[in-house]
Amino acid sequence: MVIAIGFEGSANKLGIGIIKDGEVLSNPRHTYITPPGQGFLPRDTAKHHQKHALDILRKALDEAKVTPSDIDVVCYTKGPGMGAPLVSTALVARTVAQLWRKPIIGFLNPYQPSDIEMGRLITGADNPTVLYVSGGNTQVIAYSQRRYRIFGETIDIAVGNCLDRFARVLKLSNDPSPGYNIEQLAKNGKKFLELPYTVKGMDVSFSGLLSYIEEKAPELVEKGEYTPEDLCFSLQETVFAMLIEITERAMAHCGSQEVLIVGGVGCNKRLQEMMGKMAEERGAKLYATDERFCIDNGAMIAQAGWEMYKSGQTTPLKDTFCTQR
Amino acid sequence: MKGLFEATLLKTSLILDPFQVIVAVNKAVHQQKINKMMTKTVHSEILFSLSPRKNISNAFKTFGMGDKDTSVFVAILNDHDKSTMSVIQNLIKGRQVDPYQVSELTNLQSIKEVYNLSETELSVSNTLDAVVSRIASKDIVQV
Amino acid sequence: MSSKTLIKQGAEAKLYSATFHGRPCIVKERFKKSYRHPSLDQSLTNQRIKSEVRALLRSRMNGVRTPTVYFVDLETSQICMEEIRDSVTVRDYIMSVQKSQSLEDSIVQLKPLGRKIGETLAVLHQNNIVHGDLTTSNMLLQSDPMNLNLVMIDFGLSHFENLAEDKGVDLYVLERAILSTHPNSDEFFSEILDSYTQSNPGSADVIAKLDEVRMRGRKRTMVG
Repeated sequence: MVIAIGFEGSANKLGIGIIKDGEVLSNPRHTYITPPGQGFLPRDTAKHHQKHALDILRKALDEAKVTPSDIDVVCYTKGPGMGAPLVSTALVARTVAQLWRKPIIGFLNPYQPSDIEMGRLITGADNPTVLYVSGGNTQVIAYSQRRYRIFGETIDIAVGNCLDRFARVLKLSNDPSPGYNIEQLAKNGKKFLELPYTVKGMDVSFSGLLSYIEEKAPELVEKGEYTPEDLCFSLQETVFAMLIEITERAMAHCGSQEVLIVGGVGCNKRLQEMMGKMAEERGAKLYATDERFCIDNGAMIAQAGWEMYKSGQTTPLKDTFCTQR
Repeated sequence: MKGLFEATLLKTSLILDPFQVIVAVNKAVHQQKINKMMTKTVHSEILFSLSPRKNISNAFKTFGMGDKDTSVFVAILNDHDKSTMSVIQNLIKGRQVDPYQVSELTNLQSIKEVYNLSETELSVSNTLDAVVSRIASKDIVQV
Repeated sequence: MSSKTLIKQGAEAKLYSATFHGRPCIVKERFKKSYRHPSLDQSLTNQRIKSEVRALLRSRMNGVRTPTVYFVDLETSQICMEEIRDSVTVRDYIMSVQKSQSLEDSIVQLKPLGRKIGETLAVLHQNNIVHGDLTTSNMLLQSDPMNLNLVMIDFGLSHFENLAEDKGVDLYVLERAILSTHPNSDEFFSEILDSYTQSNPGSADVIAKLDEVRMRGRKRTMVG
């Protein structure tokens, strides 16, 4: 039996999760919320993480009903992400590891291709095509020629970034996240607005679509032609269709019959539903996407660390640095 | 001659091969089936289909048999009992030949002009393929 | 059209083999995607059939061999076109060459093919035809591959655009497809770019954009 605790703070969420042999015992989070229409700055985000770290740690231990002595390994994200928040979070992880005298494991975001093997281990999927969608990443990764390769990706901005920027146009709340609020509004959208749809080979581009809708949205809403709900709905339908399309292309290309969505945007229910339909039509299997596979949480990090710890790897304290790239 | 028989009388100099007519007929019949004909009857639609452009009267003038023509390519639809065929055989004073012999009457130069075929294209495509591509694609792209 | 036999189910279209009034043909039928919003689905399907038909004809008009179109049915989303008989995909050909000889020999043998592909893409781009989905599976070699009778197919994602950006992305898509499908293919792609540049006098802007797009993938903001 191995119990791992994971610290994740590479962006505006601070999450600490505890995992016992693949089971999530606790996974509390706190998100740095900026006023509607604003993004978050590294310095303020780091301050947020510093302020809430101890409360969340307490919560994680209490919910999991474990004491520090039960924990076998401390895990944290080295990067990529924003420097100041990463360092603040790593500091907490290093401190508790030394305080509790536990081994520490620091690693790069587990769904970077070099480490994606971990995703396979976690899900039990044999040869999955992975759609990795978050605020900073939009990639389709699949197994070919004996290693994981990026088959498709955005050639400009990431999908999460596109959604967040549109949320700012509509002045949606950042609580709990702009993407979540778009998802909620989209549920009540009815009228579909046709938006630029850009798929090139297995790559996608969102910048044309974003500037189009940024420019049109205020006027369309003001004139009463489309409600904000309609626009969120149309945006989601369009960008997700693009993502599913390139995922399907990669699957067809590699002959893959398994698909997995990871990353923050992967929590979107509509995206999961669309992916499920695509998989069903191809006779393929969609692996359940739960919070462990969304990057921005501690349980994910604990899970990945748990795998490494079991295989005998830990990180010497001198190597417990962070990297933005 | 209206009412006597239903067929399309085509100018042989602009027909390269019966397959060219088949592609046009196929399209005309399809347009009829989906109620999207641009002309009044399926027989006039065949004439229109043969043209790479969308001007109807021009298509009729270009591809229909002319007064001075000494040969004609006749396209007949659904003539299972050959009744139309026998009417036409009686009406036309001339020798009936195999449709594939139309190539002997083709004016290649006119074909190239009407269908706007360049030497560049003909370096990778035979003339018939170049012609039928245009007929099949006309609703979407005109040359 | 005669009865048709399914030969391939791709991501968005089914390919059937049939005959069209005596000629062997391929029927490419785009099917509905239930995950997509119905009006988005309809409009994409229509758009892609039209793009494909348009590009097949325009490419041929500019001296790039493509299958002859026999019939287009927008109602059922089908294109009926010439079957390119006795052909292999460039993908399969490269694989067979690489399998049958040493790496050095295969690089030498594939050189003329790389040049031919580069020249062909230069022609397309000079005529503002952006393919949109360049891969080695979307290129066929008819009869003896050594004769380099290159036939371009699958123009569903194509568009007409004079922008260097779009042409640069077109090359980028091909580069990624080649490097991810064929091991040790760097030199093959260099050969393509080389001959593309030589046969397309206005290619400097396109190559600059290609470099720019390559860079973009590597430094994207992590904030969101």
